[in-house]
Amino acid sequence: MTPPRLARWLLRLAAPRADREFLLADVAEEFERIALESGRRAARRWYWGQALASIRPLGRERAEQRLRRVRRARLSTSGILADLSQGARFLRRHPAISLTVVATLAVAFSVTLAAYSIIHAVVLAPLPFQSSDKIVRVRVTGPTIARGVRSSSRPDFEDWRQRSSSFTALAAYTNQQYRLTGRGEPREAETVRVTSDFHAVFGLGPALGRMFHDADFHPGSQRVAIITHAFWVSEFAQSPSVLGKTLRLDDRAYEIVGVLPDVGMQTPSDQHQIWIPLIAREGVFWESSRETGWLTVIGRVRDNVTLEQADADLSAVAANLAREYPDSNRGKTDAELSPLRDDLIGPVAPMLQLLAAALGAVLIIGCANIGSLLAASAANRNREFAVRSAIGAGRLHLARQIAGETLLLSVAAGVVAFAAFPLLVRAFVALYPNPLPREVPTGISISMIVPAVVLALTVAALLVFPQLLRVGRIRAPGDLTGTRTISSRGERASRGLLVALQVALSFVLIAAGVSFVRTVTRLYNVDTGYRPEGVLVFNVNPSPTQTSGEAALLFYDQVVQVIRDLPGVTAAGSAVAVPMTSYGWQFGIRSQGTTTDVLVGVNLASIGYFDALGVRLRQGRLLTRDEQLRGTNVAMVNEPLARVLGGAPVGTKFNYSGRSWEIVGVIDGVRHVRPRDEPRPELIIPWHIAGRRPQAVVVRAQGDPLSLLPAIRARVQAIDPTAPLSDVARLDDRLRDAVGLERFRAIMLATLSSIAVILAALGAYSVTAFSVARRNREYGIRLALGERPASIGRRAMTTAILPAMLGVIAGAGITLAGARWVQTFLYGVSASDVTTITGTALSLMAIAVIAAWPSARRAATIDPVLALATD
Amino acid sequence: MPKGQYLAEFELYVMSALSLLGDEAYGVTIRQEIEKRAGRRVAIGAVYATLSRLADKGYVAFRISDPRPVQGGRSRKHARLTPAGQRALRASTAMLIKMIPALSGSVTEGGKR
Repeated sequence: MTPPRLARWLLRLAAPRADREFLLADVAEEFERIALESGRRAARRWYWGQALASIRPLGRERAEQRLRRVRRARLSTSGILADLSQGARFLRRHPAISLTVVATLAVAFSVTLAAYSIIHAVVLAPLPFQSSDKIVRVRVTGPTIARGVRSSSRPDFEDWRQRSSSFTALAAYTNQQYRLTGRGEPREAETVRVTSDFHAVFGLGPALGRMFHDADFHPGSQRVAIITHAFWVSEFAQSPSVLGKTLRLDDRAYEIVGVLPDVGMQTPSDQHQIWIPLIAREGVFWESSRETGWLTVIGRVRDNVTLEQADADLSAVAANLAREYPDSNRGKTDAELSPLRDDLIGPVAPMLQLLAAALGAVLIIGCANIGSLLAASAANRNREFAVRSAIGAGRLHLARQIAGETLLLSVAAGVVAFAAFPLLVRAFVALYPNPLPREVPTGISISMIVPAVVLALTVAALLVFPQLLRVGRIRAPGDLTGTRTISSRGERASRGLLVALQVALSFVLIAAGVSFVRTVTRLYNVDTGYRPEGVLVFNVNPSPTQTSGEAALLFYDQVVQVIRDLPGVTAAGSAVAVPMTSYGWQFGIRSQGTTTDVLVGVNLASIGYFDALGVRLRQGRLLTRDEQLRGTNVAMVNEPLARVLGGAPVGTKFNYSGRSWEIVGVIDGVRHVRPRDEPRPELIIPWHIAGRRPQAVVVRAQGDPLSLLPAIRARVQAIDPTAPLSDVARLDDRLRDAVGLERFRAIMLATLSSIAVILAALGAYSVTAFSVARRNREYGIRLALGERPASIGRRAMTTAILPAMLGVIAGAGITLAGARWVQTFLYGVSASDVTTITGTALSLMAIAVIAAWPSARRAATIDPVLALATD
Repeated sequence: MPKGQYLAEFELYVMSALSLLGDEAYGVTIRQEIEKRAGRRVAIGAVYATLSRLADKGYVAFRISDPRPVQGGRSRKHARLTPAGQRALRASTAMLIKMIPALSGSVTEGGKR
């Protein structure tokens, strides 16, 4: 018994797919029963009745169900998943767009994440100490004290500690090299001499052993040392049996009593390896004199005391000391507190701000680029959206599809960037020319997930917005048939603005990059006051057992003599303050008609030193060998000091350190630490006064001076086998390194501005290509009506050139507005230099023309017949 | 029952049938149950359409039975009320019971006029 075929077919057609078989089987079941009970005819009639009566409810339910599902899709999460998968489908079908977007965003994201993680680790994260905002640097100051002379004398420090009440701990330290012997080759160990509360300032406990006791600070007590975690790892392979071992420093045995924990930064900021108690050394009178500032003071402010209160407290003490000891403390009327964090970060902060600004600009350019790409692709999808909208997808629904697509792209880029950014961090840390004040984690860290997610979501939101504006403007008839191909004025304007934005930011980056590169070339060619080519410098100290000044001087004299006799050496000398190392020590003098002290460096240089360095004599004569070895009242000044003293000082007297010195000669000023800093005033007094001070040796040679090193080392060893050569370098390399930061900035800016220009060129290209494709029909009509092809080409060109011009103008404006800030990074060039700005403007316009050229050509060669016929 | 989720008449019939039939409810039994009680022709398509709508509302859930152990035995799509469906049915019937006296009253008055 079979049901009527046509009726069954109708029923089958009406039933929803999922229910089809059940429904047919149900009807068949009843049909069979009716056929058995009432005969075939009745059953067939019944079946027909069922089929005909079912068509309407089933059909209506199917239509309603679809509506219900669409409506629900707008609200439910399963709908979001559906939109996401819709988005994923689109991305799969357009791999070129998707890959471009993901790649661009991934680059932008990884540089941003890298910059964030560096800036976070170095600047934003609190120091790794308990209540680290309570840790302060303390400097002595006063209205007449020159910046730079801020160290404290031992007695001043002791008075500060006893008379102030605002600190839970106040400590002083000084960095010093000690000769480490008995562990392989003799070498200089970076040591910090600390007072008893030093660890308490940082709230540090030992990782192993103990911290210093008060008893460790009594003169004559057992000498003890604490080593840093890094030194423990490198020297003792983290052996716990390090406690009780001895270190020979300057030929004295120090027992290791403790190991510092690994806090991820140096305490406070130097690359030191060993702590020893600060005990005044015998025979070094200035370590206990109130005249000489040589200690750096740090403190931990009490919890219930503000920094301002502590500052006022110490300032009062300083003012009292200035009254009580007018000879030594005149002018030192004030104390200045600054958070330790500012002290550490201050020097690197501008560089990191620059990095952040430049990377931010690149990120914005990348986003603008992707934004216009996505907006263009959305415009080409009008038809798809119109169709979807016609079959019941609401605007919200389409919007969510777009949001889903963009989110997928952004998240994909975020994932790539999250894996890639540690490489950039590593590259930055490796290329950064100076040590960063704090360690930067170079691995993938969980703590970066939040910024990565925020970045990806923010950028996705920024990118979705312009596309949503398009969806809002979909008009069913035109978009559905694909005949509405002319962009609205607003759309064109917004695409143009995106190009202008990219050009403007590229302008800023290029202008800055050019200024930075010019800064580096200026610095390479700056007159340093000496001739660095063919010069070797190194530090060497006589054995610490030779405690007398005479023995030390004899040592340096011998070293210089034996080196001078080496073949290939044209001159050699030694001095306390050698360029690219230090200023030596400094004192302040008051020049006529000013109220603030001018800092004057004191140098002591052996005979032959100025020849070896290539410093010119300007006036008078150099000190003779006899004056160098015995003179007590003759001195030389450099040209800057001569200027301070008022012109022609040869033959005049100069008061320093309680003596009157006759000036016999004026030499050129030397740029001592940074090539960008003007030569500072310097006083050169007879060499023998240096006594036991460590000196550096300068050797001028023919050819590569480094080839002389083995011979030099052998000669020095022959004089003192325990004296290691340290910090050996060619002076021209040192000079180049001293420009390292500027070079790094220039390379960074040059790289970033190249990326920016490429992105901006792509932006200009795509905006014209897109516009020409969209206006194909319009151009066809214009051509048909007799407009000349060249004029059509110009029209197309304008779509890129106008925004580019706008961008150039804006970029020039931003560059000029930011010039004052950028200027702090420059040397010998102006940030608002006319050549730089016009050059940048012209090259960007040229790039815009080149980028727009292919599309403009295409517009000019449109075949009007084809353009009007095709759609 | 959330506001605005009133049951249509036929929906009420189908749900009552489900409630009466329990485990035995599937296309055939539901259709016959309504036909028998309401005394009017019921199209199988209407039953399926209504079940589908009720399922979308969350009042009905389906269970596909194993094929029955006879020759040509097939599997059936059984329907049952969900807890939400039971609540909706109770609420609707309760409301009807409250409304019906008033309804019949107005009919009587109308008849008098």
